[in-house]
Amino acid sequence: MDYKQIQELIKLVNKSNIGELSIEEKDFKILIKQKRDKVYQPEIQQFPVQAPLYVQPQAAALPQPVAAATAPAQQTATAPLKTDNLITIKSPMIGTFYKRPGPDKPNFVEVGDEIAPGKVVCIIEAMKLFNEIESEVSGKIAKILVEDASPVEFDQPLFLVEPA
Amino acid sequence: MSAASINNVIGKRFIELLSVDSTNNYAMQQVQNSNADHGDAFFAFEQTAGRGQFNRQWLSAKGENIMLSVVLNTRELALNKQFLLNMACALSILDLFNKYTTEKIKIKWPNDIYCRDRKAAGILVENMIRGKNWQFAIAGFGININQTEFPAAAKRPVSLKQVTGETYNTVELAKEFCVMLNERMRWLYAGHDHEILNDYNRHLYSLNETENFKYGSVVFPAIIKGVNESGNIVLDSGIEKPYRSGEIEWLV
Repeated sequence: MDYKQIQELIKLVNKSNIGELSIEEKDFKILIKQKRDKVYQPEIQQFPVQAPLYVQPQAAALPQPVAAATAPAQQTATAPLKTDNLITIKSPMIGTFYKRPGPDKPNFVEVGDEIAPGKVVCIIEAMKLFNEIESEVSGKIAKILVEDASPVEFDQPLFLVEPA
Repeated sequence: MSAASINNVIGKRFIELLSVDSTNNYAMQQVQNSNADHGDAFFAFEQTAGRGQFNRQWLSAKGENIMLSVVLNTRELALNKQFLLNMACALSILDLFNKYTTEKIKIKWPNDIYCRDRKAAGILVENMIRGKNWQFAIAGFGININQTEFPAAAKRPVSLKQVTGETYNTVELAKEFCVMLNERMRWLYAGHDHEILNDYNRHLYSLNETENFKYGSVVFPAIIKGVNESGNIVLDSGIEKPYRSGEIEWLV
């Protein structure tokens, strides 16, 4: 596939209502995704999974573990959501996000659950301290933005809530 | 939790429970039902589902040890003082041991208490947070006192009795401990952050010694230079750099 063909493809996808298009032939692979307006993505992208603060300088002998595997899943979110009036619950700290109190326990909240102020929505573990995060708002959980047991940054969006 | 409750003396209200799933769970429920306030201490003779860090089981023989959870008012504290509270908790366990033994007691980062290279106590702090406000903390303490036989699965434990040869009244000891915790919490409330930090570092296990750490899939030796007030351990592996718990694993 040459450059011109790719351009054509992009135009086609742009005009269509296709969310994403992936083509594979032999060792060539292309993935074209539609950007949506009014999605929360830009906000999320300000908070990369690996904070620069903790990146090992190159002078040191340590190789850096690959961060790609933990790239936030929300960046590939495709479900169309009316995000205009959604409230975002953000992480108050750097840590590890847990959506359930233990491996054999149900999640604190599921999409569609009604929540009220004081309802525990998740745990953020930081430095072996366990922080139960309570909702400040009333509403319905519209989306859980973070995978269980994944690292979160300060102010990273965790949940979208449809206000009551 | 009432604002004025911060003046309560820790352990003044001391509740003994014959058997409970976990003292932390029990204390948490009591606070949420508005039946507990700052300073309330919950002591259990038996825990049926005692928890260590993230559901690791905390094994303790009936009545032989201190299993205690204390409700702490944190409304006046900024969220970034979380690790300082953990440090204050660790130091109060040190205070207790130091009253009964001259043996060196150390704090193994982030929150275990060690004696003779063995674990003597552990801490499990649970915080309740709304927005950016730290509502309260439940500090759970598991302190080995009279137990001399441990299950084979226990990872290198030691009790106060194994160090001193004496048997103790665990309830009385837990009450004494509350007074020590009260004192350390006063430091925290008064903003003596540096004193807490310095004291913690002075008693840090393996300070200025070389230990092996695992970062991702890489194992490397590094000199422990201390712990900063965010709770990061500062390691020197050619350059000095802070690491979070969870980011690296200390191989012992």
